[in-house]
Amino acid sequence: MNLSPVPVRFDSARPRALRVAYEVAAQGLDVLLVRDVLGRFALIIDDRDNDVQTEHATAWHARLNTDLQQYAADRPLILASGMFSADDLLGSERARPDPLHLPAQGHGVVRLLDNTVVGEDWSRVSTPAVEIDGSRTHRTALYGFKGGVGRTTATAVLARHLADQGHIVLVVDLDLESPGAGPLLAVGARLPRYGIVDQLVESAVGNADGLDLVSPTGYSPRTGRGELWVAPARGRDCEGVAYSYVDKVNRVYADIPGMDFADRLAAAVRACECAVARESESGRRPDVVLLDSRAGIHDIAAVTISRLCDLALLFGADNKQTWGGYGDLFVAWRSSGQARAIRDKLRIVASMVPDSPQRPMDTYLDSFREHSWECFSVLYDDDVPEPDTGQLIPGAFSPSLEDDSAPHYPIPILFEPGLVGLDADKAAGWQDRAFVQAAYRDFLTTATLLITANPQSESDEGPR
Amino acid sequence: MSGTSGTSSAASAEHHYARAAERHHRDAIYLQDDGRLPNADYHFGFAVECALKSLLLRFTVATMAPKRPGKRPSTAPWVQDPATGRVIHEYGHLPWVAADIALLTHGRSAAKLTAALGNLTAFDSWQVGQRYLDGSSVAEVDVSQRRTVSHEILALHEQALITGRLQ
Repeated sequence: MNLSPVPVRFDSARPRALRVAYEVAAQGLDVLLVRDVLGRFALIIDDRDNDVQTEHATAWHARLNTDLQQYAADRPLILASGMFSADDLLGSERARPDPLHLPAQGHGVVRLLDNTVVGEDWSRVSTPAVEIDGSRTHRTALYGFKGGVGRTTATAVLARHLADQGHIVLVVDLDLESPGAGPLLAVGARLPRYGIVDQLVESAVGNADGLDLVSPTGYSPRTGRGELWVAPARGRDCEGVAYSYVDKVNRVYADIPGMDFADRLAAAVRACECAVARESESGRRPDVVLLDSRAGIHDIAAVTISRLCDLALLFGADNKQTWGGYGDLFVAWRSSGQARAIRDKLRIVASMVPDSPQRPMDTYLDSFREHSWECFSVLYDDDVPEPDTGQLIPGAFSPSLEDDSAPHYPIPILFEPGLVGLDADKAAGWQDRAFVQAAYRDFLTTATLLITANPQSESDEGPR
Repeated sequence: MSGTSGTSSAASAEHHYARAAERHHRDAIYLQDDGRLPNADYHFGFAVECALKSLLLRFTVATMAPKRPGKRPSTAPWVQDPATGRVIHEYGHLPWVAADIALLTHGRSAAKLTAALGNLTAFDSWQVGQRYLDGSSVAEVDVSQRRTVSHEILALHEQALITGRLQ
């Protein structure tokens, strides 16, 4: 009886392709495993200084076809010596070593180059540099894997609190598909003529100079030194010219020569920061920037968390959707070798925490913390001692469940039904109400400490 | 969807265009390095044309399907008007005008390809009919320039085939 082979599916293709790659590398050859946008693999062997025997190449070619089936590329094995673009691909900055495999003595190097349709910025983690004058702008992303967790409301409350502490605060609404921070913050004030979408569209055609991108929110901070500015996603409607928001949003993700979307978004945020310095009476740049990120696995969230911020507050409720979603993201960061870099930026926020006799806050937070710790463990180092020395890996980061400075330890925001569906225009002074202050007390204290810490001099005793 | 390629079989037109592009380019280099400029020039033109047609068939709505039901497959990539079903564009030999190129640069990505296609002006004076001429009008400087552009497009074509997307 002739049985059909079991089809190779997406998830099993990668380990199968890696097996062949390591077999080739065992011959002392450097290899680059390229996964295309459909998930198919091609193995490029760098034979420019090492000859590859034809029978070996033929055998590896056959292995890739057999082992990967539909996930083998049209040309599954490519010798660099015969390529037109060997330097570009083998020299790509996006190529990464396999983080789960240490190179063996005498073996070649195995690197991976993954290609996706969207979301490649998830795997390019970096922290913004200090300014030219040596000052640091504290940039914080506020992100929820699922929407509807009170992220934008928390952003508004936090922004006012930081301005009260004397900071010059800029809130940038990066939730382009569902904007909200602008109107919520600038109640009663005039929004700027243009928004982030205008900056992205106009800059693509070299026409962004002089855009009116930010507005003071009209809030008077308690200390008198602070300022609160907003850069909305959407600008203001003007008489006589229709504001074509959808037509613009549908264009903002374009790459342009020399700049991909991540570069363009970073430049747009920077343009907003410069606009504050230009328009503020103090002439000072914001020292705190809050980035209200889009929810879900989306390019804006990828760029915002991985690249634009030095701290990302991750909002969530204690449910399967939260942990499943963050779990998928954390696994992706780990498998792209970014666990160490990204965990330094992250802190979980338990939003909408219940507190009633039937459902006490402490019980809820205990459960939240356990689930959070399990989820974050993917990004932590192994706490098993090395077999040779019996010691933990030097510098290993494996915080305990109770470590209140660890990324998994939740910062609580109490659930307040009065804030659900809030119409800020009709509820002037809502942020000063006692129940609001009580709900956000712990969040404001801890988030302020985290945001104003200097990541360049971060040490173990820091609150992060 | 623009910007990403689907699957292609070994017998497909895009497969043939891809292999033909590489062959024309390598043969052109062989000829140029041997001082045989007119035919080198001729093959550089075909290398670029085949690479671009390969990309069109992989990444855009261009097709080799018969233009009318029951007829033979087309001999060149073409684009159908979705409303009328008529041929709105057919891709022939170089030189190509801006409208020929527009379909490849439509969409969110392909910034490098867009830049490379800007250099296609190097082929503005290239003519397929030059194979019937005595070759005296072919200048060394033009062939060298076309070799550079051909290599650039062949490299982007190769990367697109390996990564599955236009760079």
